Amino acid sequence: MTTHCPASVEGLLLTADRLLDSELAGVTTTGRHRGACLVLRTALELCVDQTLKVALPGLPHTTSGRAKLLLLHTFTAGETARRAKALWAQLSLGCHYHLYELGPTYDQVRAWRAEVNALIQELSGRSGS
Amino acid sequence: MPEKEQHQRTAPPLAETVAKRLAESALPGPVKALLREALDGGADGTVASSAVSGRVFLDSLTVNGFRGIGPRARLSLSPRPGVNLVVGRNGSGKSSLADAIEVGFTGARVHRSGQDATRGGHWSNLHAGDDPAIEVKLAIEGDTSRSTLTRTWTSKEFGSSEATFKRPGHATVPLAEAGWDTALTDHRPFLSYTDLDLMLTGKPSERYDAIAAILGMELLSTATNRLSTREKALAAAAKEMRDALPGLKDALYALEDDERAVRALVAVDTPGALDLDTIDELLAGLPPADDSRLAELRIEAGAHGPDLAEVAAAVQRLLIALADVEDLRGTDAESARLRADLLEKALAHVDRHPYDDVCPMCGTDRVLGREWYDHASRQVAELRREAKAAEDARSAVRAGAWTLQNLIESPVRIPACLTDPWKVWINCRQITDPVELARSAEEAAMVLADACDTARRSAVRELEERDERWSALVVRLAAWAGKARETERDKSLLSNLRKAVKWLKDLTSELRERRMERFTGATQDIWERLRQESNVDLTAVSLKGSEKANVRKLVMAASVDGQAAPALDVMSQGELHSLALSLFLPRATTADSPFGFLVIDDPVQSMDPTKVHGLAQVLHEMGKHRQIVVFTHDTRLQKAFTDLELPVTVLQVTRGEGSRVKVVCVDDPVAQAIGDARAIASTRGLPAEAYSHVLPGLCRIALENAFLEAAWIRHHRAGGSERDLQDALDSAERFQKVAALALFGDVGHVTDVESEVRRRYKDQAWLLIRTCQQGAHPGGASILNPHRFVSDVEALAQKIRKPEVTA
Repeated sequence: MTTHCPASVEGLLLTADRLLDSELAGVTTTGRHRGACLVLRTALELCVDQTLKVALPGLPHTTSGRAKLLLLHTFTAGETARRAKALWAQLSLGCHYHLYELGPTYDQVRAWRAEVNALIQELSGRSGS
Repeated sequence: MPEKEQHQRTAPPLAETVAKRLAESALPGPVKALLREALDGGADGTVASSAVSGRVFLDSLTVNGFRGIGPRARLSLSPRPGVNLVVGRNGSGKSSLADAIEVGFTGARVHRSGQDATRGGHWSNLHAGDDPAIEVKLAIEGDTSRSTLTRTWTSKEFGSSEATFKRPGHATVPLAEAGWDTALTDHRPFLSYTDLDLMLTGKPSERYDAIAAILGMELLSTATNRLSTREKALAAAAKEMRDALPGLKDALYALEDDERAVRALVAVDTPGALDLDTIDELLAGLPPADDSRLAELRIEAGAHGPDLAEVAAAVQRLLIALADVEDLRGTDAESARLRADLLEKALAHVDRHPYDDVCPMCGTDRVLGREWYDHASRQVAELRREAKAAEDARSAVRAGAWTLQNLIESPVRIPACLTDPWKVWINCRQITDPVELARSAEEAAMVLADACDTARRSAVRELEERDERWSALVVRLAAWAGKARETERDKSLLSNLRKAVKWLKDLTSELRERRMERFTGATQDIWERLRQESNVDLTAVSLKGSEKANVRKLVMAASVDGQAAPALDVMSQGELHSLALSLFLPRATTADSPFGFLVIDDPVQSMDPTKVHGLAQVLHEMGKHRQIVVFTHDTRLQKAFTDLELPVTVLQVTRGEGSRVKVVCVDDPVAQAIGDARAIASTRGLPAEAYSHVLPGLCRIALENAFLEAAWIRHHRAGGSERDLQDALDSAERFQKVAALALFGDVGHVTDVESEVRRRYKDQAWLLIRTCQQGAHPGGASILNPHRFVSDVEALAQKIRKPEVTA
């Protein structure tokens, strides 16, 4: 769940929007939606990392996603942490191929995009104060 | 949703609401009494002692030889609200367990139309089907130990099962005596895929019935029917009375010359002043004081003239006496006697002078001889006889006249029509001349007797005629008066009944509307959760038509992107499935249901992954107040609970050889928290705060969940209200209060928690709790060995969950 390339939350969100709304040659709609999910998830993770970095300096990079999300409970509102985890789980479902499931729909990804946005606001607002 | 849920939870059972409203209402006392009677009659006085009133939760299920289950398999549940997932692969025996719960309770399985509910197919197990049995242990609110429901089969027929119910402190009775029959239909706490299907493929009227039943208005409708029946009977009697009145009046008018009829008419036909007393008097045949014509008739009918035979005899005797007197006319009794005296004196002279035959008066010789003597003697006797006859005749005439006059009587009342002849007859008394008397009396007697006869005959005929009509009317009048009296007597009862019925009807429609609103709200909320990104909006759910209407239906209105449309037409299969759940779940969880549990078999089928998340949330919300047991082969639901960090108990079903089915608990709220704590403990190199704050916090959750489980079960046993528990959960001292409830069954013992924990679980346990709580303080807790700490907490949590053997 760690990111190695220097990416910004804003850049990732922009990418997600592009994937959702513009045509990309040779990529199926579902493919674009999955890509958007992936990007959104990365943005969420990045934001969580940033929040924890402020609250817990010295948190190892190797910390598991589950542990991070658990730690998040201590440093942000319980409801925000819970939503972050739920969204992360949904995005994870959306960005992987599941043999018997169709890919996420445009509406679903849009809704997730909005939720990522809302959570980023909440998390950064909280970490900034 | 939370608000609605709250709403639903706090909605008191119908009977309570009605009793409260009745007490508050401004109805007059007698109306209230009627209502109370009608409402209480609902139980029909046949409440079995085993009848259960407290809410029921599932404690365990033991099955053998049933469907996919061979030897004894057991599913243990925590008998309290919460979500339980029973997971397992297809064919693991999951559905058999789900089925067993339903069959245990109902003896049948839900069936599609055309299928027989009692036909079980291959219902007994192939490996161990000899002695199929289902045993369900139940925790009933207020009972200190478990009740047992046992279903066994007497033959290979699925329908041949028998179920018994054993409640602590009661004898084993047939299951029916638990009193759940209606609730099992109305609030069906079992939901299978077939149910969902039926909910949507059934007839509109069936959908209507399924929903109408849970509005739970039976109590009110039974009472309403009861009162209506009485009201109708009384109203019918009153109407019958009113309807009979015109006919009766006509009949009375026809007898208008009969005072009785006139009086009766006045008595029955004075608006607002029915005079039943007069009618009673008339019916009793008491002679009315002012009925002159009838009185006259009665006198006439009783009129008797002189006895003609007697009169004739008297007249005859008088006439004979008169004739005798006539015969003796010229015979002067006095002179005869004087002559006799003279002759006797002459005879005495002769006797004194036997030899002197010269007449002393005329001096003639030889006249007073023997011959004269004999002649004179005979003459004396003759004269004397003559004198007497004349006297007798005269006195006979006097006696005859007297006798005849004595026959003339004057009655107390003389009918008007007989006044004249009677006067003539009476005047005969004044006649002094016996001859005149004899003549007049006989004539007068005959005239009078004749007149009497005529008058009497006609009076009697008229009376008879009148009585005939009257007596015919009397029967009618009596019948009518009886009804009128009843009506009069029941007048206030009828009006009270009407008031009662109206009140009930108003209340019914009001409560019904409110309940329907609540139901619709709950349905829409669930739909909102389940639909996720569906563009179909459920705008309204309503009942159309009355309960008895043929065209009744459940209207489900939807809108697609703002366009109104019938829900069933525009929804996809998956959406329909969600819709069915949206209808079913509130139905099964209304406040009236005695069942605290809800068994759902595979609700996840054909659901999008995102809908599964919605379902998890819905189930979680419901799990706050209900024991939800979900059987599913789909791992997504379990994952959704974990992803959403929702507490859940997961039980895994596995099936070995010979249908050996095993259920193991693989996760529960305590284990979930422990797992999280373990995840932190296992992560190396975390900053100190992670161990000083996060870890103890998670461990505290594990302990709190353990206490909560114990507290809930204890509270339910004591029959405590859900609200008390909720208050404890909502308070700032949540942990302490829940612990106090678990340890003492009373939140008031907060300060004794420490000593009790030390007593029960040793001092070390209290130290663990203190450490966990310190995590919430700024300083945090100091934990040297996170793994060991988590293990200690886990061990303590398990001890806490084990209920105390005392109760």
